[in-house]
Amino acid sequence: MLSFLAEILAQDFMVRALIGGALVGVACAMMGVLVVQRGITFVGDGLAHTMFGSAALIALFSALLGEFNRAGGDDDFARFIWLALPVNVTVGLAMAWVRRTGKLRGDTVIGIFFPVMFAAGVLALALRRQTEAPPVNMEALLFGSVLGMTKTDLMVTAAGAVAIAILVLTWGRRIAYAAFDADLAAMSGVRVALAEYALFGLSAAVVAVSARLAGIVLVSSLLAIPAGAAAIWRGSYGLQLLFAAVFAAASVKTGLMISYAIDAPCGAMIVLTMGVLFTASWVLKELVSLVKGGNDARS
Amino acid sequence: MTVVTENALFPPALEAKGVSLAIAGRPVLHDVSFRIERGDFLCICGSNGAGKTMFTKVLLGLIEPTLGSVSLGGLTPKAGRRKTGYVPQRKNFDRLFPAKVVEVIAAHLEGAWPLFVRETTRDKAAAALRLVGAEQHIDKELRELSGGELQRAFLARALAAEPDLLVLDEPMAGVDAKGIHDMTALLDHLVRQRGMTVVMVTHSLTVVERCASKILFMQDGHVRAFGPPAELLQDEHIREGAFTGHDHEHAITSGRGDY
Repeated sequence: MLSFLAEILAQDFMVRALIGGALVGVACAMMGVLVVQRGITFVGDGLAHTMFGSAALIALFSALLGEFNRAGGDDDFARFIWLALPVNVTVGLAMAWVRRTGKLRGDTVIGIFFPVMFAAGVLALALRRQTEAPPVNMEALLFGSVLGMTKTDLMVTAAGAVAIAILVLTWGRRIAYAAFDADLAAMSGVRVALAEYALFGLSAAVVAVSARLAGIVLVSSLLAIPAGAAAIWRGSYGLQLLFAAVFAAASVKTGLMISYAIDAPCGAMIVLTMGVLFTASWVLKELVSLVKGGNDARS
Repeated sequence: MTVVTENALFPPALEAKGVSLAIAGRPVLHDVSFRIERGDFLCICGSNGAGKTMFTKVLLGLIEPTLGSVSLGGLTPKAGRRKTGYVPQRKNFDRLFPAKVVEVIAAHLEGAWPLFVRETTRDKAAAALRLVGAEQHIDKELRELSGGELQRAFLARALAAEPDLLVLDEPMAGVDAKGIHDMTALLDHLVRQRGMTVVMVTHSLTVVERCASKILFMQDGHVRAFGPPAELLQDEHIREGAFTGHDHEHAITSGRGDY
């Protein structure tokens, strides 16, 4: 086991993947606690698919402007992801605006933006193919490319993940209060509208930051599964954040190491590891409830 | 020379001037005007759909009036929020949200949901819960509480920040006769001992008779009558319009509480 760990840590790309993956996992999991408490877990999936549209639009405009026609492949993919971040945040804010002004349910707004942005992305990639630009690495965009993380990627990912974690620990407390009860939060001085914009904007940002690791198909699992596992135990907000963060970091590291050991796709192994840990957490919770129920009945 | 009027020095605890409100083009409040002083206990009465809850939302600053204005001790409703305690009618909070009583009170005191409850905040929450006789519920989740226990927890939340004005929207709904007796005794105590101003939306004649110093009778968004209970409760039209069919507990509770 120690020699296996030493072998992994001797590989620069694996060290970057383990650090970057854990940071992204922690940021996603903490944001996921807010999203799950607000009851809009599907927003992660929705914003991940709008991210496809955002990245594809950047790919089209970069081709039209002749900016990124040199190398193509993974380098361009990384640039598209970072340039798509502000686009996806804008889309997230637009979703919050439409939800508030149209007085629509969150899932309705997601159901509108998700296909429209996805369709815009498909069209943008089709138009890009008519230019002389090299093809976009769609597989990396859909399923992530954590092993291809460069030092620059790692630094940008780390900065983004730390910024999001700090915002969740500070501003997130107001978002959580508004998720509990908007009127009571407003009476306690929370600017409820701002809290909602922050929730959608931060969710879009965390999806964009995580797309390099998990890809748009798998990123929603990083938002939902650790937060869902934490919610089962019904601890305080702080404990849920801590539980979800540890759960995600452990899942990402375990998933990456298994994928290295058996030569399997990283993103799929991370998600499957989270699924197994979620099941274990749920079974343990049920066992604890049974034991406590038995003790309560005897006392 | 600056002339300072008596009104500027001692503004009314609550003053509504020509408040009108339309929602989606439908008028729900029409020219609501009245004022109460510090230490008054105002009961807002009227049948369902009279505009009582909408008016409380305007005075709390949760809804902007279409016309007119509300002043809370000389402040706008939004500026006066930190000095206003609020107990809502419907508990709209998310039942799946893992909220303990102490966290709900801490969130109100800190203006944000607590990561962990500090010891000083916990002491303040315990004191407020003791005041309403619910200290034993401090570490319980809201979903574990009965209707009456929930009302006490939300009342403790409203009182924890030591407000000048307490707004309660039908706080006796779902509370048993003893709970109503205890709560009216507590509110009476708060008004008398602390000089707190209370505004309560209620269908309960029992509560009005025990506590009210002023009654605002509303119908179809209009103020139909405003004045002391001794005067307004003589009017059969008001008694029938405000309380008939609602005052189930009137027959089974009696006596003024001696908190």
